[in-house]
Amino acid sequence: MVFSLFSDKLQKLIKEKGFIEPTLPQKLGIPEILSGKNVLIIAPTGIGKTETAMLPLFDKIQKECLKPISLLYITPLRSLNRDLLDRLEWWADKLDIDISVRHGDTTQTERKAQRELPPHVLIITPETLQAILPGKIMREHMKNVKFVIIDEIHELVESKRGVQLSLALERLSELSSFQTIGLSATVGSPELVAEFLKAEKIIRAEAEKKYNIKVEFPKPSLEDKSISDELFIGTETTARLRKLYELIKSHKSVLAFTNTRETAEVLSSRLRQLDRKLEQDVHHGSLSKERRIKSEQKFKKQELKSLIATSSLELGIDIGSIDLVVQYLSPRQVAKLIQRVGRSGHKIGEVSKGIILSGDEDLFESSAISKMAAKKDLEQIKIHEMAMDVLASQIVGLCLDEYEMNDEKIYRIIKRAYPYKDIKKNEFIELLKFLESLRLVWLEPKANGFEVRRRKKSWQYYFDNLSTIPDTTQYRIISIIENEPIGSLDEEFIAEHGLPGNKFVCSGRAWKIIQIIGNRVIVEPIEDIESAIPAWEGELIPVPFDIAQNVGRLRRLEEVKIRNNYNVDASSAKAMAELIEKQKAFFLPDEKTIVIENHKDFVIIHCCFGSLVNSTLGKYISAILTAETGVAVNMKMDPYRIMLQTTANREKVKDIIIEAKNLEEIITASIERSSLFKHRFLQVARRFGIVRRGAQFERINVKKIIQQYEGSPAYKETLREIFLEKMDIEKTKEIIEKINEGKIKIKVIDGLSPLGELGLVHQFSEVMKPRMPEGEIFNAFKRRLLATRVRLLCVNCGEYNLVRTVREVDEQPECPKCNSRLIATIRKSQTNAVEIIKKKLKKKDMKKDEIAEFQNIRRSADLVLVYGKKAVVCLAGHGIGPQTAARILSMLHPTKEKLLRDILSAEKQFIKTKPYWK
Amino acid sequence: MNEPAMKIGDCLIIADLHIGITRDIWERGISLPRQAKKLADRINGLKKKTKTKRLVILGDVKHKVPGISFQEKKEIPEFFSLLKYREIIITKGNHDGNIEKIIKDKRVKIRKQFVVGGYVFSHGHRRIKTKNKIIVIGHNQPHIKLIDKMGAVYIEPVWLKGMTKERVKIIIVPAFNELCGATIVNKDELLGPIAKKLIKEKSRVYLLDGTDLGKLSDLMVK
Repeated sequence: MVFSLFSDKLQKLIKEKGFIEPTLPQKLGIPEILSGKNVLIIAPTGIGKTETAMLPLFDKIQKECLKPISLLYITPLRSLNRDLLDRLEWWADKLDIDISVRHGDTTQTERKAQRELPPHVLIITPETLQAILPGKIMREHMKNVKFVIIDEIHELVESKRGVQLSLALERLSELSSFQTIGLSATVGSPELVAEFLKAEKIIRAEAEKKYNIKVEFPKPSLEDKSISDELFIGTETTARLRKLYELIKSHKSVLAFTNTRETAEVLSSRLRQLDRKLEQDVHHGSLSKERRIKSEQKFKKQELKSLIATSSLELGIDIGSIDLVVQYLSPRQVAKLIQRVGRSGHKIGEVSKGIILSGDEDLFESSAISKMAAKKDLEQIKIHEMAMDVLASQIVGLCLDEYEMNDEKIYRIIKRAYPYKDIKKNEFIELLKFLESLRLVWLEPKANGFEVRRRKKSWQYYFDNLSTIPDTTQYRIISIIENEPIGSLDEEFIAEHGLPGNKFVCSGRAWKIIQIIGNRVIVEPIEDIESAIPAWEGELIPVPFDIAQNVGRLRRLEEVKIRNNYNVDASSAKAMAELIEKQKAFFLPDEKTIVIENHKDFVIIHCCFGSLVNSTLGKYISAILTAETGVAVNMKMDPYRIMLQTTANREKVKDIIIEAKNLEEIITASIERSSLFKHRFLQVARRFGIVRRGAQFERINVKKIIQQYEGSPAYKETLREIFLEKMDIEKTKEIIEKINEGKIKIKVIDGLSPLGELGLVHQFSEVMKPRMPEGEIFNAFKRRLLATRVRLLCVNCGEYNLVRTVREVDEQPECPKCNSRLIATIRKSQTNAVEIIKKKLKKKDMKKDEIAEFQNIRRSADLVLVYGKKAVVCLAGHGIGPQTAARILSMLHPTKEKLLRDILSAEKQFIKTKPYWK
Repeated sequence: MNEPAMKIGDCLIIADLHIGITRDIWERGISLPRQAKKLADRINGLKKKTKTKRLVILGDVKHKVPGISFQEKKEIPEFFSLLKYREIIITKGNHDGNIEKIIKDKRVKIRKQFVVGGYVFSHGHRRIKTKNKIIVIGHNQPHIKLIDKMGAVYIEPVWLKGMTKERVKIIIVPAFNELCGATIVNKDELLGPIAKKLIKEKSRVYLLDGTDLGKLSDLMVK
């Protein structure tokens, strides 16, 4: 048994802890680690992965009396660090090994203690490693590092954080030579991760974990219909909600995952309406840290029966024994599903049980994914190679680490890191010179090459950019009707779609942007849901090509075949078969058939190629159409279709696809012009120190800044980043080739087919409220106006001064003191008005602005005198002064609604022009 | 040629260089590459293309008001030393206070206004006395705001050619340095006593590539 390889002391502790049999990763991993190899251990969570790595290293540290810091334990999440410390302290205490955590919030006293009396084991995040690498004293301690463990490495490899870590490890290896141990959940390309980590051996210990993931389609019943009206959600949603409720009731502890924050919120709030006594809560990234920690703990202690979460709870801390994971709608990626379902049955030998609650077309995707999950057919890993912004900060970091640096040495160090293995010397020198022009390094020419030195700016730049994660702001959406917040939008969404006139869906309704003021987005409700884009678009991870292709294949199967080959319930199989039957009356798009149909001014291209290819193809078609017609094209897309709002016809679109060429150039040009490019450039510019923290953009056109950097490493990096994350040029080219070879066919039909309708309207059905009738909008607006508090003032005597809601105002207000009807309505906040009136009455000298203000008050009183309460209502609108009010009131208003409509449109006008009033 | 410059006689006319503006932008948290070399290269390129002998800069060579920044002291002499013109005339602008002190170049003449043929050149921030019927100014850094069908907003630099009540022709030259701020001619009020006299109905707007956008009075937006 592997435990017998340890010292007696540790063996005794293992018995004390109650470990009898080693788990699979322990059996396979411990001997390899003891032999000193760099290893990558792949195992699902909850079967003693941490102990696999830590027990042999604890043993070595103790046996060999290693000097601190002997071990760095790197995890992607701060909250994991805490959890880990709690778990490892028991062992460390008994073995007399020092262990501690360090992160951004660690106090100065603790840091000082760590400098003076370093621990044997230091638990950190990649960003903390960045912070301590240049530290003079910490560098001395880090010379003793013998082991580095990187936990949950699958979370890091695909991001710029991972790239940064790979360079940091090379910097560390300039100080000491160490053994690397990577711990990973199941991933699609283990060899790539191993290469990234420079592991000599991959240990796969996944077999012990069993998954049972079923797809279910809750069919709406009659009862659901009536409930749905009460809860303001669609009937299908209600059916799923009720199923979720039953599942929570019939299990001990249920973790439910949604793809967006909004859905998580909606589910939790509706569950509460359904059953107030049910102990459940919501958990996502926008909630405060305190609230998240509290609900995690309550869930762990089983005080909460269920948590509704987004990816925020995917990895990380042990949250107790979950007996069921529910995935609400398709998980969109296989790895995601496995990761999520893996959170249940956390005990060794238990089966992880998961249910995907699906609807409509989503069913196909969910079924395909659950089948791929059963076969462990995961997505390939994509690594950011040659990210120039990350490299910039690490080059500066190297200059801070050591004074003696030159281009040759830096080049040699960075080239060892996997993401930069292919970097050419001239690219590297170009970057160095760019950094010099930004005054981040000093280049001193020498015989062949340069000395590279830090300068004053280097320190601030480096420590401002420890993290590669961009700071993002949230924008609040405010409805002009109720003047109340209805949700929030991401900065990236605003960058891409945030123009007045653009339409989006949020909180179950379609909205049009009137104006963006600061970080508030002022909107009005609209009926045109078809051309709106979902506000949560940015939160959705892309659906890969292979999954979309499998959906295409699945579409061709008969009901029996589906039932036999996929882990789905009977009603799912039936629903899929029915949809396909209906679609066949038009034409069925599958993995090798593209179908193009029309509907109103839409052209819908059905193509099962996944998010990235469809986005590439869609961008290309739009660019060509825009160039040829001179009119911009509205595009939205999902993994199965591209929807274009255009004046061009179907045949034209078909021809463009067939004749597609110069994809890369045309898309590059269209991306360079896009607002997404602008947004991403600014993030890259921050990482280059071009834009400092808290930079003010008010009087500067961002386009002009970008122009200044055209062709620079920062510019190229922005393009590279967008191409890797949002496009797939290679696959798209392959597909166009296949079209030309006849391996993929294109069929043009008359719309609207059921699958077309799903794309245009149904993707929003999730949280779609019933349409708000026009009258209801005005009622809401009226309610808001009537509830507005205004100040009433008697202009005649100046003695009457009262704040009231508009509702409380009489039809023809009168001064109770002097019975005059000259009552002015002004803003509640305008408290100096009484003074002005009194001054006027006493015929005192008045300043110029006071006279102007008095005239305004007087005009308001005149309006109330003539029009009565109607004038009060009118003046309560945003930005409506006596002048505007006079114009509105002088028009004929046969109905109250007409008056309200005029007030509303005056408000809109005000908000539209507001930013220009400065 | 799509550059904000024009040729009159043997002169190349440009306006508003604002060398040193990068310092101002840097103070707001954004680093930009130095301008002197870039601007000089562009101008020398134009010299070759237009075969002009003299360069007229319609003011605002420097940026900081008041005073002269360290960067300007360094970059402005560097800029002039790079120019290949034998004769350079600057009509002093409102940002050019004390500029004589930092330009020691013998080729450079600094004037309030300058006449070539029937044209009088000036920066445009103050009134001038002249009998000439065509005045060429800078100072405004004119741009136009265009909004397309989908609501996308474009702001582009433009030329403005127009007439006053007294039938004096005025040409407003766009800024040569694209980092300069902007007057949106179809929204904001024009700057300076000369430009203010333009009659909107009698002014036409042109993009840098020469596209005639029509009368200013027809282009107004809110």
